[in-house]
Amino acid sequence: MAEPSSPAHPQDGPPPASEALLELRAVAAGYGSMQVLWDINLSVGAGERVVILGANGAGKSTLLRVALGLLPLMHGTVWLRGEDVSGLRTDRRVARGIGFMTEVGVFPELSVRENLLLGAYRLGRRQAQNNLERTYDGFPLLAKFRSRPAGSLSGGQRKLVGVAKVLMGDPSLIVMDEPSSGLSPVAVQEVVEVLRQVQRSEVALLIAEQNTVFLDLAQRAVVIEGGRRRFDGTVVELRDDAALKRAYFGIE
Amino acid sequence: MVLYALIAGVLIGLFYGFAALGLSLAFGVLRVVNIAHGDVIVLGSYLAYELSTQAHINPLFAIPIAVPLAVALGMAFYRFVAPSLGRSSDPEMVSLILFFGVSQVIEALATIGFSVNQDTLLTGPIGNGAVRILGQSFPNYYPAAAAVAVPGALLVMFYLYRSRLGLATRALMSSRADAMLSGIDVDRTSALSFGIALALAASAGALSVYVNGGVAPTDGPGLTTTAFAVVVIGGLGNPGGALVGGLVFGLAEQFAQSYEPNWAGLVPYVLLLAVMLVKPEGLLGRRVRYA
Repeated sequence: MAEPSSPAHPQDGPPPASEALLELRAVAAGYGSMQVLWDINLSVGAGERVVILGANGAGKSTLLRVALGLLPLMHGTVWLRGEDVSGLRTDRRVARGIGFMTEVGVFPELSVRENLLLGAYRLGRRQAQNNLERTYDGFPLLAKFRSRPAGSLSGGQRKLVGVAKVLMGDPSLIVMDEPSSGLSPVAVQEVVEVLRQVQRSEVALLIAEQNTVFLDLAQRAVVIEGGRRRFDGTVVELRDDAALKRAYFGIE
Repeated sequence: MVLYALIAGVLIGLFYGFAALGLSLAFGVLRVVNIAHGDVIVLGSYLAYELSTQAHINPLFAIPIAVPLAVALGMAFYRFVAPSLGRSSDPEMVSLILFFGVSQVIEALATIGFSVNQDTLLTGPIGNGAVRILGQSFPNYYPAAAAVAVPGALLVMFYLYRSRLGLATRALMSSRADAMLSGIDVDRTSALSFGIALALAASAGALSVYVNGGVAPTDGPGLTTTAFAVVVIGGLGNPGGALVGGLVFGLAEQFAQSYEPNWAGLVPYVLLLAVMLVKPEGLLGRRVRYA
């Protein structure tokens, strides 16, 4: 999925020929008068798995918040399946098939079962119940913990609930904000293993991370530095880039 | 005397919990204390008073009339103010001031409509006789208040903990942004919750005209204070906590009234301070929500 590196006014152009699931065109955003993102172009195609790599404060979370409509755009547009959703509310964007996993991942006060049901909120009661059975079959641990408050689980288990919750909604794209945050290296590996199951399905993944372990899951990587896109290419190309390699993989 | 205070404390305490439930619900969705809560109770009281004195209908009929009205008004009000709150950089402060204004407007309107004097209903909700419970004699509005409060509170709990919309409501109480990200229409859910909150306040008004010995336009702030204390004792933002807080408040007040009547107004608030010092998140509050 090549795209022009810096189009002048891409939002004025026609919709893309190959219909991306999610596309950000020349997006700028920030908080109040403080701009955090500049001229970000990003697209995720059906079944594609993309990792947004960047240090703390690079603007990864802001980018995801803009994509989901939690933060208004200063400039640019956001598209879902060829539809301009720039003015659409967050819940309506989610209803178009995006599953979003926050850093926390769960509603800590609610039980595991309630968290899972909320993952399928947009699908209605019957479908949610079916998906719940499917989830319990796939993750027996969650069936065991169904009545426990999600906040009482360990960090790794909470992320597992978070992933399962997002899968409950039968999304075509899963967006994750720092799935490794607050986890031990062992727990991070567990999350990656769970996501490998997702990888085998047709669901597209967009993961914002600073942990390069998640690159193993992805075909493409986007590097954000200081709120600007520094790199967009395949994971292989990223590993071949000497400067980026030094910055993100350590000196080897 | 112990038995009397115990029974009275439970009956009135259940009512206090019910009267405060709406404040807890409104706090949960708006993250702000509805200062006009007590004034909505006052409006419910006046509705009951007018029904009884003008239409000669049982004052408790105010409840089925007030509930749909309050839900509709609450939802409309939320829809009306939510956009401007969303644009504000400090929505909590703005809504606090907003509710202060609403409280004053209701008080002024009630003064115009019903005069500043206290109005007292001379006929009870179920005749004028006393009711005997375990050998103790109580005014009949004590059990009547509890008989309205318990099913009313159960209905709200059923809504919150057994319905789909209730689950969405609790999710948005936990995190508004995360609720949106779960595909929940948070504006519609919040509006409905605010409507239910007002309906609870207005329903409580039909009984508070007895429990408080009457109704006056200036009663609102005092009622808000009581409801606030009840909610904080139980745990702010936890609807079940309001009921526990109500029982604690009611028992403290009734025991004080039985043994040291002069101190009855003080004891529940001393208790409030004690709870705040020992368990700042309230009796049923969970620290995890602020973590």
